[in-house]
Amino acid sequence: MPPPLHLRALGLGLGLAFVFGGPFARQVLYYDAHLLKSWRPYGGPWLDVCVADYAMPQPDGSWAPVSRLETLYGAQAWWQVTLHRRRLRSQAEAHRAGRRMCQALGVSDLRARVKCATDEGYHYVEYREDNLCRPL
Amino acid sequence: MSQVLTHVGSTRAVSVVRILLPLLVWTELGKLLRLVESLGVPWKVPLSFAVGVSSLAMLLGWHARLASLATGASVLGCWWLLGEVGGDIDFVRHHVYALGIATVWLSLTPCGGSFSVDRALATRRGQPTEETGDLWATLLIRMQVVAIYLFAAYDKTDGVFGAHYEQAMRAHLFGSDRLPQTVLDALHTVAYASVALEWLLPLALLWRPTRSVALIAGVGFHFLVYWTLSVGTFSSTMVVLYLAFVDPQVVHRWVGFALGEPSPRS
Repeated sequence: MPPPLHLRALGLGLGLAFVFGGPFARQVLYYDAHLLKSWRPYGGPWLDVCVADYAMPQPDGSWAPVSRLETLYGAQAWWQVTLHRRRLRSQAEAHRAGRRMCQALGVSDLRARVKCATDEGYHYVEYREDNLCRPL
Repeated sequence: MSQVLTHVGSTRAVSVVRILLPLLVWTELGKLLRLVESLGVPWKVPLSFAVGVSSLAMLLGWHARLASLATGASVLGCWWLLGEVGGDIDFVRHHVYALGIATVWLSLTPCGGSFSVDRALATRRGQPTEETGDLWATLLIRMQVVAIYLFAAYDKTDGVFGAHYEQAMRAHLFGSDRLPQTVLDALHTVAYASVALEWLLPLALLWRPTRSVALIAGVGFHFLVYWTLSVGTFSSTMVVLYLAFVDPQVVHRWVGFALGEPSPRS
């Protein structure tokens, strides 16, 4: 026996209010109630990644880019290395990789430009200030 | 409005959804809710039991609507008690909530009207078992899909989604090293094209003349997301929920054709 029309109308109204009201309250009105659902697909674990460009200073003041994947793993392209090795999750990981690159290359000066993911996009955490080959 | 509230049609589409959603629940939560993973965690053992029993009953179509309600409630219980309150990130995910809420809305439909123990028992008792029922609540499933697209698109229209998509692709595919500018440009283009599609899909899915194109575009979009990112069962769930946008009589004929039933015209 189906419910009477007015009960169906009530159920539909409440359901629609819940479906749209929750995300509207959370995302548009910034009402902080976790029982209401928001639909923010790219948050949290997605952002656990940094981008690192390594370079060596040249006598003429320019920078010679150095490939981390080629130096440490002998790879010519990103797909030749496992994701675990391709991905740097923090500035500290980028530093550790840089120090290993110093040893592998046998050079005395290597710098990194590192930016890490944030809610606002990217944030530079290092801009070639530190010489990664300097003894700790 | 009264047309929506009195909509009667074939129960096969919602019954197919009733069979597919428990399979997605097991895929998403099965490993996380194993007894060995659950012991010692508050709420996890009873929730694990509730999800297991109710989803099995739902799959079989035994007290189908009640089983669907229990499955949806217990999945949402996992999302809230283990995820939001308990802090386990695996349960906070959108995939878990989407499965739970869709299953709750499904329980308001005659989802046991076809391919179910309920129907088999009714047939044995000699009760009428026409595969038709009140489908007003399928509107809630459709609107849930629309809300997901709308609010996801709203969130992504923030000027930094290109960077966020690049980060997601770096985290799951490219890694942390220098990429050619053409690759970065392509990633940002795909990102903003997908946001545009997410803004368009709700309207295109709701408007009958564009619905077929929207369904094809949506399936393609979710395939791309599934193929390139780690989204668990989310893509599959959305595609299953697309069945709520298809005319129930068309689904009835498709399923009948697949089962080798004679065509009504023949």
